[in-house]
Amino acid sequence: MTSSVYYPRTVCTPQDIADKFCPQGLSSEEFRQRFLSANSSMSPQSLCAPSRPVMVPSVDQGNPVGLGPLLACRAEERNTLAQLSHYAGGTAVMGLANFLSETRIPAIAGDLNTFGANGMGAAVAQSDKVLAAIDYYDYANNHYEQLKNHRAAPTTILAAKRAAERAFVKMNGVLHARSLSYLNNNAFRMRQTTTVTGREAWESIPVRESADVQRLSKFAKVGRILGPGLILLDGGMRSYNVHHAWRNGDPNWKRMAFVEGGSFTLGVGAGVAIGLAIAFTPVGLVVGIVAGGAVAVGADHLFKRLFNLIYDEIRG
Amino acid sequence: MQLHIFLAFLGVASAVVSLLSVVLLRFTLTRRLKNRLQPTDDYWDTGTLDFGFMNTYLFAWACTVPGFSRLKKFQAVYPGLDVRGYSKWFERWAAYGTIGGLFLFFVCGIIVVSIEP
Repeated sequence: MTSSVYYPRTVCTPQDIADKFCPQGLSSEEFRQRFLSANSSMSPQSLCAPSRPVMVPSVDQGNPVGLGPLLACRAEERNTLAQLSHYAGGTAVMGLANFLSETRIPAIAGDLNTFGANGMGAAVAQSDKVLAAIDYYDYANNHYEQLKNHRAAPTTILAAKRAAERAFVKMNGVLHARSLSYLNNNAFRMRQTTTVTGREAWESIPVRESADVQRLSKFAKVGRILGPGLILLDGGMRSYNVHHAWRNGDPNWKRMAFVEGGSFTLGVGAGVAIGLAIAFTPVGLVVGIVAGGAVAVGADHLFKRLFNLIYDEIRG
Repeated sequence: MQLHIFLAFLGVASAVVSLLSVVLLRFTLTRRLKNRLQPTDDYWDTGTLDFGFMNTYLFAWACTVPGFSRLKKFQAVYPGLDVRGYSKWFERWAAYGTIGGLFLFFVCGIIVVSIEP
């Protein structure tokens, strides 16, 4: 069975978490002790800060999974994971982290700011569809769980179960055939390990081993590709650089403004144009995302280089 | 003028043409198609903050590469839509500017990088 990573929404105590996650057949006090031993830096009097990850131990007390990589994430990255897990559910976050890890996107994107404003734009619409599909599955599953817990009529439960299964198939179709194994590995085991009823339980992210935590921390760096926010962030950072140069009296601030603005716009445009075109061909979305990203980064660098050549030539 | 400087000029000019063309397309072809398709709910709403530019690039590809509109995924989004036939002459030129400018920029850029002293 899996442990899970939980990002509290508000300040809470270890006892609150033990009450929330305590499985059947285990006392709350006993589970709190396990929780404290899994999070060795915490004491019984400690408070769990919002959006700071805590480890919720598995029932069978398997090998403890360290939270180091997630704790080392910046606050901004932790917020990304917290918000994603609150919105899409922990299982979906782990599934997407695995999915992106396979495509090796995080390794590229972690170093290149421009990647945020790249051909990912081409995938944003698809990502929204993914989130919508996950959301629908989460809703259908939650509805099924509620009916089961309230002992509804067997036919009603069966209908809800089939609806959840249909939603699962639909979600997998959207997520591409490759994600099927991830979701089978994560979603269904998660359903068995978490006995807390209601939606809150779905927020925790199931992790089986340290590699999962590593993948999550990488995913945190690029998690916002799931929305257009990163494009705005990239643009914002570039304008901040220009503003900073202008405020410091750097005589090159005009040149910087044109280069940054031009390379940003062209990077977005080229990434979307190429990524979108490839995503529409039989080659598929994943290659489209990666190629779009590469094109965006390439366009960004090429534009800067060409413009600097021209600028130096004109200025003599 | 040295060759790499000339190519740098050409590359930046192509990039500018590509960007201006896509803006022109956004306010002409995409706008007309949106007005035509949206009432029947046939316009693909990407659901993101792209301000219609993703559709614009899609239409630009469909205008410049005839086989693009026959792709299965394009047909799934816009079944039976003949973008090239619907576009006006200047919109077709803008589409060529959008896609061609982009490719010319990359060609010039790569050559400059390889021959720059």
